[in-house]
Amino acid sequence: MKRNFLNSAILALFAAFFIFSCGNPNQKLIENAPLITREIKDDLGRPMSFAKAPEKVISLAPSITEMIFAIGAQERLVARSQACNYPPEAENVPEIQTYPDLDLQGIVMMEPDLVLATTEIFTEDLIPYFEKFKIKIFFQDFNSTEDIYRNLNVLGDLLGHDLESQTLVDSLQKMEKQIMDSTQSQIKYGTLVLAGTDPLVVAGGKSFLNELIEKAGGKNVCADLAEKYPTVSPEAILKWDPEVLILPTRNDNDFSILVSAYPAFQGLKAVTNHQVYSIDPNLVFRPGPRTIEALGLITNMLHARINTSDLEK
Amino acid sequence: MRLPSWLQALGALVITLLVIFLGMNTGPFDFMPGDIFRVIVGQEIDHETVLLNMRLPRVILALITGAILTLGGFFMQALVKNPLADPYIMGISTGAGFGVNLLIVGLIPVASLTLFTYPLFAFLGGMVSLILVLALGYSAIQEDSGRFLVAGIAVSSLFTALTGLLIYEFTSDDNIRQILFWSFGSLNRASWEAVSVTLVFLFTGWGFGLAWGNRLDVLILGDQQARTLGMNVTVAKLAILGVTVFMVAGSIAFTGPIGFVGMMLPHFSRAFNGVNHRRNLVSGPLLGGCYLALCDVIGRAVHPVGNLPIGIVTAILGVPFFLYLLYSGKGKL
Repeated sequence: MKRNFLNSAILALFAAFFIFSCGNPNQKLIENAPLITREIKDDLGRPMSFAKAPEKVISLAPSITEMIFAIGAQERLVARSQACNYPPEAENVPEIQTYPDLDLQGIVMMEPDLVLATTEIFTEDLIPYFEKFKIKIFFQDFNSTEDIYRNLNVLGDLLGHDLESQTLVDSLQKMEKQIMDSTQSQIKYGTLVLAGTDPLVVAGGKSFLNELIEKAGGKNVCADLAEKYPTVSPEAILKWDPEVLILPTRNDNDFSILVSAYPAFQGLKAVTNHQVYSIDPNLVFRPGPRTIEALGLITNMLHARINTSDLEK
Repeated sequence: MRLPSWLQALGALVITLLVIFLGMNTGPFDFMPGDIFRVIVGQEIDHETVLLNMRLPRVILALITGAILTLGGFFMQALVKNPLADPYIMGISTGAGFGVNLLIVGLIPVASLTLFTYPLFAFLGGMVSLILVLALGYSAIQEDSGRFLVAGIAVSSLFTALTGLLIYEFTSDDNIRQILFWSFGSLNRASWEAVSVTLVFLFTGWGFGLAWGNRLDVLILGDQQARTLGMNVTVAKLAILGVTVFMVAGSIAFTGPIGFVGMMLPHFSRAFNGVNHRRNLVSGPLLGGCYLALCDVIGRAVHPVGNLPIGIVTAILGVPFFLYLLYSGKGKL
């Protein structure tokens, strides 16, 4: 009898516990849900909610990888695209193939909490594939330095490094303002950025470089062209006759090859006045934390007297 | 439609001069028509380098390239006895493209690039494709069948696939545009050097046509008939093939593969002159040259900053007229 009572008491205890836990089905959820669940919209306007900062992040774009390292969030980076080669430590992060075809299977196998992509390299048609595997893909759009600052802060927010990102953005903005203050009173030299020499490709009015040239106190001679990077004829370049010619290239021979292919270019003002410069293509084609460094370099090319090295943080 | 030959020659000359004038008058710089005459007679004007070193070599290169492609079309159509044949049918252009692309993606280390590096590799690529076609189709060259044509198409497809492999495995963002550009064809790289080199190819082909025109006429009748008339058909075919590949590879080395001209212009020319090859030898290449130069002028006028890829213009303008010729029964092979 005594034993029976004990048994039923234990049973009752279990039952009570069971009823308690079942009777309040919301209890558990409320307990585990932190109050900081945030909703952030990506640059395609897709809202995304994050209960906590994503632990495993994949970056599919060199510019985003640079930004993640710049705000010190690289411990969350589990993979990067094969094009991500800066900073040098980025090469230690496992690689995901993005070209010629995105290695979707490799991404799924890594079970990332978040995949970061840019609208310049990828398009919306990827989204359904990621949704199928319940992987969040977050798009960032970079068309101006403002976009860089905004997206640095978004990344800082997402990855829990908002203090670092804010500090970085403040210092970059300060440098940009200093450069612009020093260039605005200068003569605006006609500038041409030859993004490619075979075929001849220039940085048009909607390109990122157009903004850099203007902020550096120059005037993009082909700002009227609607495309970002249009192919042009050699005669068009002669007609624009830029005073400064910038070649984003790492190959010092590119200019001599260019002039041997188009001897008439020897008559360009930029060539006769020795105002032909080369610049690291990754600095000018990748919107990111180094963009302001590129702005400083271009400013030096346009206005040799402004010493941007004083402006370094 | 057959005109007296002196009238034809005069007409061709007038058209050619007109095309040269148009070619020199079109572009981002505005010149007075008087400026063009002044430059030609040697007076100095502002920006004369645009006229003398850009537009003039460009229009002349277009004339030469159009002429070579037309000659190549005549030869290939006679060789395979098929009105659809063009100078690229034996894989010359895909072979040349492959040669250039090998260089662009950096699989062939070259110490220093000169003006002639790409053309050289294009030429070599074209020659390799010829050797492959001969190796695959040598037994077929002796018989009167389509097998030789098939060998050419097979080699062409092989090089297309190999180029695709190169693009897939080795390209980066930097050189994808370059590869695309070389597959379209363009006269942007025209220079006097290119003119002087392609002129050699033109005269090679022209001289061959002049010397062998009668044999080409006989070959069209069929191998059997040609043999009966005492011709060594195998040697004749090899010679035609060799000369065609040599001059066409040499010309597309500078311009990239410009489409449609080589297939269509022989039919145009035959509509005026009949099928006799020698009779087509003057006005055919002239017509081809003028057509290509005119297409280039139109491409430049439509898109002054960027220039439309020339192959697009040659096809869009040519196809309606070509269809007319086809259905009216003129220009039959």
